[in-house]
Amino acid sequence: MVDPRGTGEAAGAGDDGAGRSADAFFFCLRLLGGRYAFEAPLVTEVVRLGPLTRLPAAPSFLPGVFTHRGEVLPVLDVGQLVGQSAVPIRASTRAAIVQCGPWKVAVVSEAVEGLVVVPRRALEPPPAESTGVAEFLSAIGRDRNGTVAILDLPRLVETARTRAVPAGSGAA
Amino acid sequence: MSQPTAEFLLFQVAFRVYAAAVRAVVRVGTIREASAEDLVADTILGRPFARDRGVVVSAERDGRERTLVVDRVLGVRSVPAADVHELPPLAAACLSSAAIAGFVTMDEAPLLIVDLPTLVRERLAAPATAA
Amino acid sequence: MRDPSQLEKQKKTAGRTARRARSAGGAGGELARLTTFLRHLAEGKYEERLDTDAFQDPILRAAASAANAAADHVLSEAREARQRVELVTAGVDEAIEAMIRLVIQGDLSGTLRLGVTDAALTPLIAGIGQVMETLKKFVTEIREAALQLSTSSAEVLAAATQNESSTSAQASAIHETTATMEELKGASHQIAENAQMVAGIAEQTLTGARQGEGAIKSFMTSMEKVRHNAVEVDDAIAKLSKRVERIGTVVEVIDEIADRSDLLALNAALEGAKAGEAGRGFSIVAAEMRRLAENVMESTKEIKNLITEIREATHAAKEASDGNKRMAAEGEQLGGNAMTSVSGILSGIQETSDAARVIHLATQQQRTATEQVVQSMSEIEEVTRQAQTGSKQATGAASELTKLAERLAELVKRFKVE
Repeated sequence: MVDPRGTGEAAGAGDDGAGRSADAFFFCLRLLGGRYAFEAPLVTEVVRLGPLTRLPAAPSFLPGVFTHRGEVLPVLDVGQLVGQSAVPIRASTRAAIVQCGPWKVAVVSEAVEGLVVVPRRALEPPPAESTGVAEFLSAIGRDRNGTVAILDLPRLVETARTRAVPAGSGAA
Repeated sequence: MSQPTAEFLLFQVAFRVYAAAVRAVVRVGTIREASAEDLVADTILGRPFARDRGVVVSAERDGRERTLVVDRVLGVRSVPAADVHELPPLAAACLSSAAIAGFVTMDEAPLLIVDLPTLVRERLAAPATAA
Repeated sequence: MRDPSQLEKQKKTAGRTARRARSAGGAGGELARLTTFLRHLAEGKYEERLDTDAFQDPILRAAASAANAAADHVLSEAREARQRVELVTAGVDEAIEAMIRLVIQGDLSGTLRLGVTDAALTPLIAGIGQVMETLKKFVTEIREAALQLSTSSAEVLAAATQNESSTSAQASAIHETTATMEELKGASHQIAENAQMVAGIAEQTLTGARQGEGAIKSFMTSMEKVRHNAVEVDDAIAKLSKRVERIGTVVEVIDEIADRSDLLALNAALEGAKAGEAGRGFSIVAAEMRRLAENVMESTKEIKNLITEIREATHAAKEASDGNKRMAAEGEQLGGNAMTSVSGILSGIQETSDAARVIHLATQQQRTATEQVVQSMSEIEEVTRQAQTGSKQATGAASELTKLAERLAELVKRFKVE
């Protein structure tokens, strides 16, 4: 569910009376043939991915790390995470630098749509199926351009982490 | 000279160059100098092509020396400490190996810093797979 | 009978008398009668007698009486002669009868016995006896000869019969042979014709196969050339490889040294780095050394690269040449196989052709020989036929001969000579 106490506020039309704006702002990416978005405040930047340093012993959804402004960031391939095809990393590949919880990641996508506004009342609960990407959806939104799947990115990332490292081996 | 530096031994396995802290390196030699059982070749770094150079490390607690087989030893580099970075936490958390210690940016490109003893230890502890 | 000279005298006398009588007249008439009487006597008329009384002339009476006496004499003599002739005739008849009896009875054993004994017959009897002797001899000879002849003719007949049968057999055998030979001639003619045809076909096939052979040969020659080329290429490659290897060896030595130096420098740098500040100078020297070693290694690397390139190129060339050689070998193999097949065909054809030709020649020869044989056989047959005819004739003749001999033998058998 969308947390009304979300990390960011956006200027919008009116108030829902609970101190939240009426509209929700999301950052939308084109992924897996669909439109996915996550809470806009999470996104710090959208960058061109550049040369990727691959990491040995890394899970498939972590194609590598890249350096941005002197900072080394891990790259997250959501498509790989939910078990579908990898995003081909090209020079033009866009990544959204997202802070989700303790982790700062660069989420790669096929294309970046940018900021979308979905009225809160237009948010619906996600479908009941808990397989694939649906597992990580917090809501389904609709805007002018169609359906937008609202990803619960922190949960996604956390799940990723726990899945990557089987219990009892390797890293901290 | 007052700038803190870190000394790394640069070596190449397959197509990638890695860096290892000099303190972990006992000696650089050739694989001919080591006995077969002390050679470590197949690691997460990949399989070397040339199998000529051996980077001798002390991996086990017992101090027994092991030789990591590499393709090339490029040399010793001294880098400013500021160029040494840790792995991003998520990455560190997601890797199944503890042997990648971080990065060192050298000539614009990041080189992975390899914890050689851990690398060797992990390899020795791994079940024997088709090498 | 009176001596003919006497008669003659009487005639003459009668004549003269007659003439005198005429001349004498009256007495001449008696003379005329006398003369006529004598004439009649001379003519053989002995029945008349003169009436002597009628004669006046005493001489003429005497003459007439003489004439009568003469006539009586002649007459009685004639009667005597007649009697004698009758006797001899009877004797001769007897002899003849005896002879006939001999001939009829065939009894030559005895001598001629005659009831008549007349001295006049003695020569006759002696003559007959001689004749009988001679006859006996002849008969004996003939009998013997007849016996011999019979035997011989029997032999001849037997032989002739045998001959006839054998010549007949021979003739039929020869005839059969001739017939067979004729058939053979015909058959061999057929064979010869067929052989001719086969030979013709073989010739054609031979030509075709020869052409094929030629094509295969030229193919194989080119394969051979390819193989040769490949071998030459191999040689060149081998030479090149050797040279390259030599260079490689030298380079490797240099490399080894450079490598050692490099290692040394590396470890020196390592120690220097571990020592930290204290090892700084050391590290610098080590670095220098390393640079030198690296230079050397760079150069050798270039050479090694070059060597690698050459090796690769020669390897590729060798591969290509091996490929060529393989292909050529395969080609040669195929060509060889084809050649074998063609050779097989050729020799087969050659054999066939030869065989056909041989058959042809043989049949020709055979034909000639057969013809010759047939010819000879014909001749033999002819001769045999002639022989057959001859022996038939011989047999016939022998048969005839035998029959005759038998008849003769039969005939002479009747004559008893002992």
